[in-house]
Amino acid sequence: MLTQAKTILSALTRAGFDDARVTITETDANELNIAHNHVSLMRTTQSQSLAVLVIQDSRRATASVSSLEDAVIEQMIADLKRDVVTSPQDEANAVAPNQMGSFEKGPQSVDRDAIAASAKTLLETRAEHYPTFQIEECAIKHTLDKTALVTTLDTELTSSVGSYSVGMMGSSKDEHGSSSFNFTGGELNALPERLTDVLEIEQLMANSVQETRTEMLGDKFTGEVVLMPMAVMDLIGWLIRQLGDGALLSQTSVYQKAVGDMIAAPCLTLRNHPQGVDRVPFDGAGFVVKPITLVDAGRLTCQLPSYYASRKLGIPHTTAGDGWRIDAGDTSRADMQASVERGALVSRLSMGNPAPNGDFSGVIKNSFLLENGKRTKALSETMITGNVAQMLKDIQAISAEVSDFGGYQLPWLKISGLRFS
Amino acid sequence: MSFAPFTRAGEYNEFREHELRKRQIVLVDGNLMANNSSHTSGQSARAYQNGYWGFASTTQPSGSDKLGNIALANAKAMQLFGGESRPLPQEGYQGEHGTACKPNWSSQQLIEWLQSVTDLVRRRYDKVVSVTTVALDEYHDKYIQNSVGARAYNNISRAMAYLKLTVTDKDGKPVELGHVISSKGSFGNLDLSMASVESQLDGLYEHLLAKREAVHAKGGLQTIVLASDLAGILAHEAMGHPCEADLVLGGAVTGDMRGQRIASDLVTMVDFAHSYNGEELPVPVYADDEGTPAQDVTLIQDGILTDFMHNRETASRFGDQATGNARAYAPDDEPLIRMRNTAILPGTSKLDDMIADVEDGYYLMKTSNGQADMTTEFMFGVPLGYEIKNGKLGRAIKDTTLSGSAIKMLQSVDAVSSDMHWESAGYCGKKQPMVVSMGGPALRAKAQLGGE
Repeated sequence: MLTQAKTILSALTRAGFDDARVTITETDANELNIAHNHVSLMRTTQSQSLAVLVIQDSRRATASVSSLEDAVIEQMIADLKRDVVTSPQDEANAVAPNQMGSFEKGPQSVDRDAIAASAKTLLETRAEHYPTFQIEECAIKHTLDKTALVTTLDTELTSSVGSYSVGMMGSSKDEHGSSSFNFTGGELNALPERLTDVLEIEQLMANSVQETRTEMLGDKFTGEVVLMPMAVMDLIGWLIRQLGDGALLSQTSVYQKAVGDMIAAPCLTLRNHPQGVDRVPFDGAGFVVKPITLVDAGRLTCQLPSYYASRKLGIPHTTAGDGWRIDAGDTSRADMQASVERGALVSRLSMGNPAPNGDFSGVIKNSFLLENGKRTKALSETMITGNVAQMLKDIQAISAEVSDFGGYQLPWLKISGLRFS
Repeated sequence: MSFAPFTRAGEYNEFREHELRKRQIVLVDGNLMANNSSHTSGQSARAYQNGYWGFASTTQPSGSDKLGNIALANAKAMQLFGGESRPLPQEGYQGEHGTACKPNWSSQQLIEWLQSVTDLVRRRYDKVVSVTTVALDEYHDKYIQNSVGARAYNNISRAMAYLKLTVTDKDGKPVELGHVISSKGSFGNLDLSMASVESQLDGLYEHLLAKREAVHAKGGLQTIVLASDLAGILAHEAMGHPCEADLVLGGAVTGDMRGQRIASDLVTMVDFAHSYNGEELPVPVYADDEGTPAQDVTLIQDGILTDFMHNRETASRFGDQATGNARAYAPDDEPLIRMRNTAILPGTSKLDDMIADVEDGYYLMKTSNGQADMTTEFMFGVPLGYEIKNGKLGRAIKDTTLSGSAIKMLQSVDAVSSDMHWESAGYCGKKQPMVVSMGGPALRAKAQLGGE
């Protein structure tokens, strides 16, 4: 692959482009699917892609194809010659310089027997302990991604990243009714003997079977939420988008000039997670990911512009990758719930995209009312309203227990000041 | 790409050749953020044996014989879990259906157009601090053959421009609104004249200035009038997903409610295969990716829950006809039950009268993302809405979320307008993305609104 990538890079140089980046990816996947509590389908997929970025006279264009045949590549180069001259000139366009490395991580071959055994234990545990839980769909998958990336500025990177992944979605149904669906998933280096021991799968099923009998809240109040990991991901996702290209380039980020400022409660430390399962050691632009602490005891240390945006805006470039972890706190999950006077334990937020200033309102799903430190009834048709930026500042406690989802490691968060309705 | 030789494998099998071409061009304040084109071509096979499916795909031409055997081996490998064969419906569609695309725009034309729109915004709307302009198009060509005689070609083509304006409120915080111009076919099928764009942006800017001064909606159960732009997403999220037969098998509450009243008798809702009132719809599906002839599915008739959307396997389980809802997004995706063109049908009321009759409520005009649930508890984001006070529109409201039990909400519908709005923008997400369209009239009902 590396040789082929270099050959294509040479062809691009001969075609007259000033700079170029070539990425070849080959992906092999084996996936077993469960539908409605039964094994249903086994998939085997093989795919390859060639992605090219070219720069000519400070103009940029990109293209990708799924064939590496000579005729396809020649046509692609011809199309790029046609398209690049139509782009506006921009001195910020550039390719990654001087990045070198060859990386291998994770299981490099699939163990289909292990996939089948995992499916078997999952189905047995469900049938034996949680018979009213319905696995709507579950995919147990092994993926091997091989990538070669080269640029005209002496970047030469290869990786071979293997991993197993599990994604499960389901709900419960009994004589009282149906629960909301819930989902969990993540990546693993190896499939465990009991799949329900990882990725909070058993916890999800155990909660779900208690959610078929729900009640509406009935009144409005301002209270606290304890966010479980899938809801915490929503907060992190909003923060990352605010620090990325779209918000920064349009000058609409609430963190446009906030580096060095306290943007969260002092108990929050958020780091990237390049060592996480399945995380590719370099980004799509061709920069090797380095460890960073994005929020250090509540203080924002950097933004996350791409190489292009960093050059455009004159701000430092940070290559963070796409995995994140929050440092563990010092409060147990049990104590966290016991400390809530009135609020909710929230597994999932179902909401529209928060407004650019962070305002949001969302339905709390798979959630339980917390009253005087006790978890009481499961809730339905209950909404919370607040501001995501303010929520980060209003974090009251972080759990000592941290859930590992492969690329993400997330604790529970207790947050005050949400309006319930 | 065209029909390749087909080989049978297993009790039932199908073979799909699938080409997917996409473009994405993004300008943020005139800076070119993306100028991407992609072309993915692949073949896939799926085989059914003793109750199990096997699937195989590749981006390299391999042929029906080789891929079919891999798929069959995958199906056979699962026999260790037991196995019980179930006869599948035998209908197979033969026919070819392209989209009448007008000549497409080149990337150069699109970049120049996006830049012209950016210049127009800067020249015309002095409060705008940022403008994002996006052009997206995608073209799916699928050749499907199966062991029950299907031989179908289907094309789905969509072009879309997305324009987003941002201003700041009195506290300097960003406030934004987006607008979509989309159509079946290519950019040549869209009206992208500057006169048309200017007229649409004038309206958007007026709403944006009102939103700068927006107030929080009152949280809780409210009387709401949904503009016709929003009824489609209500149809899709609130009752469309719970009527997908795979979700019904997964425990959706709709499973026990066929034949029961679940909505006001003003509500009739249909998932159309390809046409409505003699017009071809934005996502015309004549045969699905299992080669089944696609037919309309009436989900709710005059308030009564009637039918579900099926693939071959769920049709067999329910003893219903396969409806042609099995669709795959990418060349390496297996077909899943997906909606096509889902709509609530128009009634007889007039929007102005529907608003005039509301003493205290909200008029909701635009939507962002939405989500469904097995319980029919739905939600979708509302980035633009106004108060209604004593029958008149009042102040704009801040971004909010509409939610509630779809059954309760649809039972509370007391007016349905006579107009009809169709839109195909964005994607439905369910393991894979999918191009769908949604349609509907304006509705008046009661539902939960997020807010103070």
